[in-house]
Amino acid sequence: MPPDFNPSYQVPNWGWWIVLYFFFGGVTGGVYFAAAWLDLFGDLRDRAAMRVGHLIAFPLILLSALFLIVDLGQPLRFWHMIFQSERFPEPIFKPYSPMSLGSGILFIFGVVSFLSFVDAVLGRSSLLHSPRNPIGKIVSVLGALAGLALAGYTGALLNVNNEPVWGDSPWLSALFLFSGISTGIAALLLLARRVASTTIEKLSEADNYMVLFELITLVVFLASLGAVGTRFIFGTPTIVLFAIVVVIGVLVPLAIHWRPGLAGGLRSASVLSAVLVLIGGFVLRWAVLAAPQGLGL
Amino acid sequence: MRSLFNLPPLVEQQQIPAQPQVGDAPVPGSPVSATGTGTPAAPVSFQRGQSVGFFTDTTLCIGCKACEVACKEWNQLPAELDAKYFRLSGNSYDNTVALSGTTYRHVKFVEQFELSNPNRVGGRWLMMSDVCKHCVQAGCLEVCPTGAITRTEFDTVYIQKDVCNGCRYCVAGCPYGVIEMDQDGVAGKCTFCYDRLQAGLTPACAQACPTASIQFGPVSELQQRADARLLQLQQAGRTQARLYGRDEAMLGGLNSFYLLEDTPSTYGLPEAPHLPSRNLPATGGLGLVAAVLAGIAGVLAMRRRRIDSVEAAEEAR
Amino acid sequence: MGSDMAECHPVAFRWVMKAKQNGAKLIHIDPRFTRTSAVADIFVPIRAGSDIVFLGGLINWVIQNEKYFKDYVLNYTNAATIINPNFRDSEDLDGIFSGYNAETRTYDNATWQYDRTQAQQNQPNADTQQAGVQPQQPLAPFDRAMQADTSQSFDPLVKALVPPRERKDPTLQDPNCAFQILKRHFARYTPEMVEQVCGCPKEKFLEVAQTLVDNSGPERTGSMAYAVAWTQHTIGVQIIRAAGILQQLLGNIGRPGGGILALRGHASIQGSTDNPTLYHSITGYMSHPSILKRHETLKEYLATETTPTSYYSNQPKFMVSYLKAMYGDAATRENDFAYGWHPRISGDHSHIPMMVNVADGKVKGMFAIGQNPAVGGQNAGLQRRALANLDWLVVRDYFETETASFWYASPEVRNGQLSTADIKTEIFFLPAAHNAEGEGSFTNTHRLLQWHEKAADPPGDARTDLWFTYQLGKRLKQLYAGSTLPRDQGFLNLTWDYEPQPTETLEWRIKDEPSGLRVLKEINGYDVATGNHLSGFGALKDDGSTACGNWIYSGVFPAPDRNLAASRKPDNYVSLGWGFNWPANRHIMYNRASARPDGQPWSDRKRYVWWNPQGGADQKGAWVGYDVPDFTINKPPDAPADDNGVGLAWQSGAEPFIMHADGRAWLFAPTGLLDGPMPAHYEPAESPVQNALYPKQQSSPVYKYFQRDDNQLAQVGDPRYPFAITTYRLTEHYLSGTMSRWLPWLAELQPELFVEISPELAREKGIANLDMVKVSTPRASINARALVTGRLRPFTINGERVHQVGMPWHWGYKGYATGDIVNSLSSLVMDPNVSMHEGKAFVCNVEKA
Repeated sequence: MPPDFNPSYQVPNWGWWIVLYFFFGGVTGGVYFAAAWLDLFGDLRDRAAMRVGHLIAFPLILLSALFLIVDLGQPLRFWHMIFQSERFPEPIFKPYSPMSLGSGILFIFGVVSFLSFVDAVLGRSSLLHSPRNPIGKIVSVLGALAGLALAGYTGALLNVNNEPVWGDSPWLSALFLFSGISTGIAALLLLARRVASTTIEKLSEADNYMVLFELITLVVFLASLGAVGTRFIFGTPTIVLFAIVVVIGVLVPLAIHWRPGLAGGLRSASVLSAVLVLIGGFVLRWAVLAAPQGLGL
Repeated sequence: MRSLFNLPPLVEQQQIPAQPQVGDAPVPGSPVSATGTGTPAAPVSFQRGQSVGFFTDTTLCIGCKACEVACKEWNQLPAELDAKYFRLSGNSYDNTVALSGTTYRHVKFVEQFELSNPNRVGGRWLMMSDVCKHCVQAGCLEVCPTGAITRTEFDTVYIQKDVCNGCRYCVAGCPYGVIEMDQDGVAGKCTFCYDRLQAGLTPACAQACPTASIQFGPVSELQQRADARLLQLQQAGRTQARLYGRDEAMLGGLNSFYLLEDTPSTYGLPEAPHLPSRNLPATGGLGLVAAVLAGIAGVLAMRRRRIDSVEAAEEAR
Repeated sequence: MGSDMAECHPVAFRWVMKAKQNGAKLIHIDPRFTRTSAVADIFVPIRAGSDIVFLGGLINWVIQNEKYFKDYVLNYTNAATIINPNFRDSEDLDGIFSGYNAETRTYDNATWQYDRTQAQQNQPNADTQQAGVQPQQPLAPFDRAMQADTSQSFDPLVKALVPPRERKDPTLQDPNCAFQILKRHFARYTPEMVEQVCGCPKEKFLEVAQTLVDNSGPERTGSMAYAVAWTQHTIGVQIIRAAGILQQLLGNIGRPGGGILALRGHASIQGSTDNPTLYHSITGYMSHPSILKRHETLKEYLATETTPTSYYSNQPKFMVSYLKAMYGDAATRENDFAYGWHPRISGDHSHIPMMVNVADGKVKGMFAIGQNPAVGGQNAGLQRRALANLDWLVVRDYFETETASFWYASPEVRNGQLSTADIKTEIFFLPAAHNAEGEGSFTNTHRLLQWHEKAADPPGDARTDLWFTYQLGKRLKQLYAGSTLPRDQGFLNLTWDYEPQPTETLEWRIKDEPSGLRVLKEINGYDVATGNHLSGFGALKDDGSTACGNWIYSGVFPAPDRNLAASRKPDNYVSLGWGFNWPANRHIMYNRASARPDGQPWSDRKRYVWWNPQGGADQKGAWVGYDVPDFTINKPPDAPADDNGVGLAWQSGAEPFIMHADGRAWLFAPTGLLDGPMPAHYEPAESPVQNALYPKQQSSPVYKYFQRDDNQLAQVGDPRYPFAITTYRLTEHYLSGTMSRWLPWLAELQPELFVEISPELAREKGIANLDMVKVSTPRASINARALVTGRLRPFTINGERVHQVGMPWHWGYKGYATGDIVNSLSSLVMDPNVSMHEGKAFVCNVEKA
């Protein structure tokens, strides 16, 4: 009998909806983080990009939440993760369970991003987020923190686990955070077209930092898995996905940034690079979820 | 010793809905008499507030699967008739293959025959009835975001199916791979026959087990019995016999613990199971560091520079 | 041995496990390593069909090494009895015993009888004294009995049957004494022979032998349990005989923790053979009146069937009481107690010959009640094709079985051999009730009757077998009403009133459910004049004043308010207060053997029943102990044997086996078996190897075979069928699967048919685990998945490698779990004693499909 015929784990079937959620969740968090950092540390020319970020963050968080809800075995009971179902409206909150923590993060992010969204739609980002309004700055800080948490907590969720690969490492929250922020910046780069070229430069530079950190973290993550990695990743087709992430999601974007001429100039380089980073972010989520569950999820 | 992160929830556990009672309602703290396994000469008595469990002595298991059938019959669980499951697995006499949301007991078969021995003498066929371990420190309970998984007054781990929303975190959080989803999309696992316990009855599997391999009772009694049985076997020369999950060392103790005749991994059991939260400090810490790095990198990339601000001022005009 | 008890009797196996936990050693001897082997202390692999060699090997080892229980053997067995000097053993005649008729394939057992010559010259001839005539030659016992005056009682008939005392040699040295014959007979069953023919390592055989003797004797006992892996052979009965001989030598019969337990295979099949469904007996294992025997009148019947020197001397009382129960007041001394109305058998009406007759169109109609020959019958294809010849078929079962649906769903219909449009059989499917939907008794394998209550009404039209049989009888009686034909009088006069009291059906929907208690009363027996329940078979008379449906059950219902089968008072040992153990609530039969000839226990550790000199109501001595003594309660251990005594008076107070003519257990069996007084090894009817013990007699010289084109047998060494095959059961399914394959929770445990093959065979044939393979025999070819497992192994027999495969036979074409029918592979061959088939050992081929 093969030794793993009686495995001591089962797969939770976190499939395509969850890949989409992880991906969009990262994008959402990254978008608001970028917008917030532009708000806090950028100059007046960056405000256009910031406004784009505020316009899309809230719809994105709704979309992300939708993916999450659809994935549930009982979607209409999604609110059981926020309120105790038998003792409504008492909340339920277990900070040591990343998923429970996540519902809190989603809630806070939703509130904050909603405020920024309203400001962006109604007030053209000149009320709450007027350059001198301190409340806007606080909102940005909160949103940025929530955005970082949103990007990274899904990795923590996978680590706080007993599934092979996921539960055998502490690196996924860092990995997803870097990846999420990078995809968020990339999304902003794609969607905020009528902005200053300096903004684009700034965002591209930030993105480079993020994908570089992502690459380093990914290599450390894979190396630290040891025998588990060999069994679930290196000997399987999943390694191809990771290779795509590294090459298409990180190395080529870095090369393009180093030599923009390869892609025909700064603007087109930034577009291409952003698209590749987004692809890389998506494939990364797919690869990590596929490691113990199989390529088809 | 409970781990730092296995704290009880910030909000009080909700009351379990009342189950239909047989006879007089038991008074909390007073003994609930029960019929035991085996003959009427071996009754079991237990009470609320006292840990009950299973001691499964696999040296007595004959692989008959009465436990599987009794469990399905009592809980009215569907058979797995789908063509994907309804076939010979090829793994010895185990066609159940795994626990699932609709299969709460699973008998494992491990054939150990040295094929170079033409007479097959000395070969072994190990059998073990797998079930939820009802861990004192339960990984599934720890991660469940709705609080559907809860601890009963009998110290068993119970899924409230009307609360569960099917997020499947428990499936990934269990170190034994016990939980899976049922046909309604919610999690399912051994209930420890919670309804039978409340009526003072032995769980269905222990009641049905013909050789009393599955023994039910207060955990402290079972531990004494297990220790005695282990000693008996070792004195009879069966030195590979060992207890699994009897002590607090493993997840605070498994309320459903085993006597095995080989290493745990032979039976598909983890040698050193952990709670999911063991990774929380590390992953949280690294995530925090990552957040700080991302923040700094963001500042470096996006901050105003003196030249920029001149240009910015010009452009703003 | 001969059983896979953990898999097939898991609930009873709990007691084996408890014994193990108390230190008992469990030995499992089997062709495969099964779930029983997994918990055994010693496992010995043997080739299917070689059991007599193994058991004979043990017998030989025990005798040669003088490890038998000497006092027990000398006093309680017929070891010292001298046999007819004309007896010739299979060792003398190259594999057959004296008296063989090759044309008819039968034995005349005249030369197997006890030697009574010397005594005959000295014994006064009772009848000739009575008649006042001195004959020149003594009459045969039958003729003497027929001359006796039975106008008032049958006692003179019984007395006339008493033969001269047999000759004995208590020193056991006479070459013709049973012990010496036994010793010579098994002399070639050496450990080396065991290894050569059974294929098991010699060391394992010796380990078993040593363990058995270490656990026998005054201080210890060992018990054996067997099931159909011993019975389902053409030499099945002799395999069991071999175990009987071994246990006698070890002194394990009639003692606590000893004995041989037949693990019967159906729920209450013990009850069903007790009250009988076997064609050749009427209740209580009395012989069925037969036109092939001297059974013309009741007197002839009793003269033929009565054993005058054992408890069976009471046969006339059992038979007359039975006839009174059958025909009531219409049975009187004047009409021979209606014996003339009782049906007669005219041959072998067991299942296989009956189905052969069906196949030949000689049977018009059939009832299949809880039976599924389309799957469970041997050479099942033949049986399925046969069903199409019936005019009508009634099937009573829970589900539409393969037998009920053969006409549209069988493989023969699907492959065109039979066409539904051409099948003229009219089939009635009647739904049956489960046993919890009716009350009745349940007799388990150690003769314990337990009453079960009705828990619920069956749904719709489903009815119990009791209801069906009763209704059928009532309606047939109505159809016969008014007939004056002599042949109908028996049916018309059959007692047939089991109407329930209103109180019995008050809470149930079905108001005409017959009264189980009225049936039980008839079985128990009652006084004809008063209707009072009888207290036991000791109260039976041969003058028509008592009626008793089944003498062995008598005593179960001694008063209207005392149904002992329903009593539930356990204790921590024999539990005499739990249920009713026939006969007379004795749990261990022949338990007088648990005491020495002087009446004291063999050892304190194994005391069970013993003689108390001050015991009994009159304090003059009685047998006492933990069980109901299986002996005349106040007969002292030193009571002498009376050469003129009738019944138990013939036997001494130190002869425990009271149902045998000589009060002894039989090492050598002069009567009762058609294939020899002692077991000899023969290969199965189909075997891959030659008979190493008797090269000139490959298989049993008397096994029954049906010479037909659709029942061909493979010859030894046929290269087309090189592998040995055995069929068996799994825990998860029940027999032909009529209950288990229809129940999803059981069907999913073993959903598909498989054939278990060894890794060596798999490698040779290029078969991987789970491949579909074709298994074929001269009768049929079926497909199954291969389950490659190290639990099966090839054997080395007579120096050659012999592969063996195994198949569980539960599958059929209906239900959730379907599959090919394994019994299509086997053939129609039968053990001559009981017409049992040989599903446990034949030959086949296995190839990738």
